[in-house]
Amino acid sequence: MIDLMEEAVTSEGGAKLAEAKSPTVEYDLIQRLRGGDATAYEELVRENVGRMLTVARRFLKNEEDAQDAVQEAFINAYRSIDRFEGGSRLSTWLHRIVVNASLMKLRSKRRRPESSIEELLPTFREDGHLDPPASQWRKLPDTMLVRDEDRRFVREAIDKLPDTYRNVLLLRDIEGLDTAEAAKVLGISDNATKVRLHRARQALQQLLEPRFREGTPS
Amino acid sequence: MIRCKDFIGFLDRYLDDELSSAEREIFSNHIRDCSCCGKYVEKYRSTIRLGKECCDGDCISEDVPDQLVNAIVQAMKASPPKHG
Repeated sequence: MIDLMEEAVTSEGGAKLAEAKSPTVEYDLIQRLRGGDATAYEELVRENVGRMLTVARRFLKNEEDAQDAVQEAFINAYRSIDRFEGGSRLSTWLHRIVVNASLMKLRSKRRRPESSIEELLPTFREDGHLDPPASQWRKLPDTMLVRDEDRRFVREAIDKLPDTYRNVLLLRDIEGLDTAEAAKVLGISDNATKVRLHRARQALQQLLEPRFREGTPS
Repeated sequence: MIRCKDFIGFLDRYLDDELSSAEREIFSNHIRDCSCCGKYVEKYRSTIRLGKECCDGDCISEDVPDQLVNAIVQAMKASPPKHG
């Protein structure tokens, strides 16, 4: 079983979830939490629960599970607040903890064997050339201009990946963990993480093909 | 010379700039000469980009139920920090 606190690493990857809160204000909040200030509990929760629920919902498709993971994350973080050393932002620390809580919840729920990803991976001729040859995709708009239907399509495609591949893709490409951090959270080697990520991206590319191939409506 | 199969196998290292200058030159030459792999690389980059953009990585849920907030606060009050 993964120790939630041990896994809460200090990368800046999750910093995108953090609002610019001054170190002094954050230090003050941590001291109040450690001192048992009842108003500090609610402040911590209200400031971070929205971000944490977003993360949990990405990993867990069931809303009740996502809320459970967020609650467990807060309780674990709070009970171990003395171990928060300030090497990272409080929000980054909480981000790592909710990622771990979500993955643990996912593992506890997994019952069915995963589907194979092989049919979504590229195939090659004997001489090593891609078979079939790669198609061209339509030109994609700039950030924020991707249509809602396309955004939904991409999210649904990610959800179609087997959990083994979906999780590594979420950790690396969406949650911003680096290879070593993702490997630690998943309990696999750095190399295995890289291999899984590569296969996950290839499979996602194949799933996105019908939507973004040149000639499809943009 | 490098085969398309090997090129695609090392694609992440190429995109993450983890190749030696000699390896990088081989890869760059392959993309220049093989339009098929050129398209594949562009789609691969687009896939990564779409994943990031469409999952709202920095989005904050605004529909947090009050019930959840209250349950968390109550549970925290009942689970004091472990000192030491």
